[in-house]
Amino acid sequence: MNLEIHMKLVKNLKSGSYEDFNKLYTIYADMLYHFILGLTKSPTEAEDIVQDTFLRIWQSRESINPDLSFKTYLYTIARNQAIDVLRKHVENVAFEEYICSEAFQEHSENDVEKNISFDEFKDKLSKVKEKLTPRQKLVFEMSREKGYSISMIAEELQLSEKTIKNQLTQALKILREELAYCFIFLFLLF
Amino acid sequence: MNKLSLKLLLEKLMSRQITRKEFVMLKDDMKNSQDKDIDSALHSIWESSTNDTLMSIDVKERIRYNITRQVVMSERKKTVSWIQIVAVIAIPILFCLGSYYYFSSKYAFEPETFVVFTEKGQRTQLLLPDGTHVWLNSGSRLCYDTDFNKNSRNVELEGEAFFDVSQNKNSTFKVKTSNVNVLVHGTAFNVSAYRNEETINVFLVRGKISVENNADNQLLAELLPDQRISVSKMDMKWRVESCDAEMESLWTQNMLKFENVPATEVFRKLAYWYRMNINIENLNKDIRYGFTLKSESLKEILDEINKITPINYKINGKEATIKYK
Repeated sequence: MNLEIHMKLVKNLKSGSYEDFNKLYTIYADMLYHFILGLTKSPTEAEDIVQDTFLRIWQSRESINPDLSFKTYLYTIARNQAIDVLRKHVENVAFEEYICSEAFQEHSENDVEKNISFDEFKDKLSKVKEKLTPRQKLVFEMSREKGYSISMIAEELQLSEKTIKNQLTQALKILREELAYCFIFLFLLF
Repeated sequence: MNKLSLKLLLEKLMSRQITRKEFVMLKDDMKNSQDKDIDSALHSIWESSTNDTLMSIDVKERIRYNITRQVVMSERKKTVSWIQIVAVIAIPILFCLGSYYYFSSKYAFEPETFVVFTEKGQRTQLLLPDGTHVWLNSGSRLCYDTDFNKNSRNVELEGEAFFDVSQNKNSTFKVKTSNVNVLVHGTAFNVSAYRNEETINVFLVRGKISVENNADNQLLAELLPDQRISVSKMDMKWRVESCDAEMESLWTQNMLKFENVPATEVFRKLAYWYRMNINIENLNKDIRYGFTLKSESLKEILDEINKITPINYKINGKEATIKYK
């Protein structure tokens, strides 16, 4: 890519050219999209962040320094959101489950779009959860998504620990069967 | 256990190479890291990232459209609040000084122009604020104002575009080119008005359109589906002829797919896809092909065809001759 042309685009952006802003979008959107997609495996997150970042670049165009690299500038604008979304994902139980699933491990290097995204995975999981009874679902969510221990759930729901264990075993069994393709295992913790 | 750096773990996550153990490490690391440590890891990954994986054009254009829409909306809001402030200050002054100042506020309404363009060899799609879908062919530019869809729906085109216009009986959709304008209500049609070509061509897929002279707004002709009008830029002479509009708009497809299709049909479509005349000699009518093409050149395709069924070919400008061996 020609550095001089880029500097000119940034200069024009600074003075309010929407056309050149659009050109910068054409050049840099893919890089940012795939960066966020790589971290989150979520097309919707990537889309949101790309949209928000470029919108903010347009809104604060007057404060841009055309002598510095636009690539670096783009990163500094996207940075905080990238860190937030990364922290959120790493903490997310469903994300961990997704990372350990067959769907994630069995990826294709050549065709990035063929890989099952985290969004699709979450979709499937929430659909399958509908097959559980309300109580199984509740116990599953408390155990896997909120990280409660068996005794804590038993106390909260005023049930015996044995009942909770049974409910959870059944819930995991149903999920395992329904998600046979996606999962190697569902939480070894149990 | 070896301690891997945060950067390496993140790279493994990004390339889908991370193991369960490593993910747990990453999780712990993230918990114990401050934003600035994560930042420096991310930043160094970012600086070495390249632009070689492209996102799908639909997503890219959807985001572009959303950004444009939000920019338009926020500029409009700004205008309103500015007007409100001016009104508060100006009304008392207006009483004193008459209507003179009133007219100065009209500058706040001056519309901005959006320009979408494609480089040579690129195509793009966009959605206009009224829902009209536009496919822009290579080396073309399309302009419209921020007040598009307010009172009128006007766009200016240089190059070639296919329009699927959303229906609105109250507002005519108008495509202006250097010499002719196309007026429509809700239909799908194609306009080709490249600067370096001698004629402007318009064809219609469905609905009804009128084509008028840009200079005096005189009606040239009304087109029916599967008709094409060619207007000479030199003398504005025009003629209407019938055409296969669906085939002519093949270029709006991202790819061309053949599954066990007779060779004659394949070459007919290829001729439209590449906008070439293709002559064939010694063709065996039983030959069928199956392949998908995206951005390959005609030469590349013919080389592939040659591997299946030996041929000789010659490409000369807009003319290709194929001879079966």
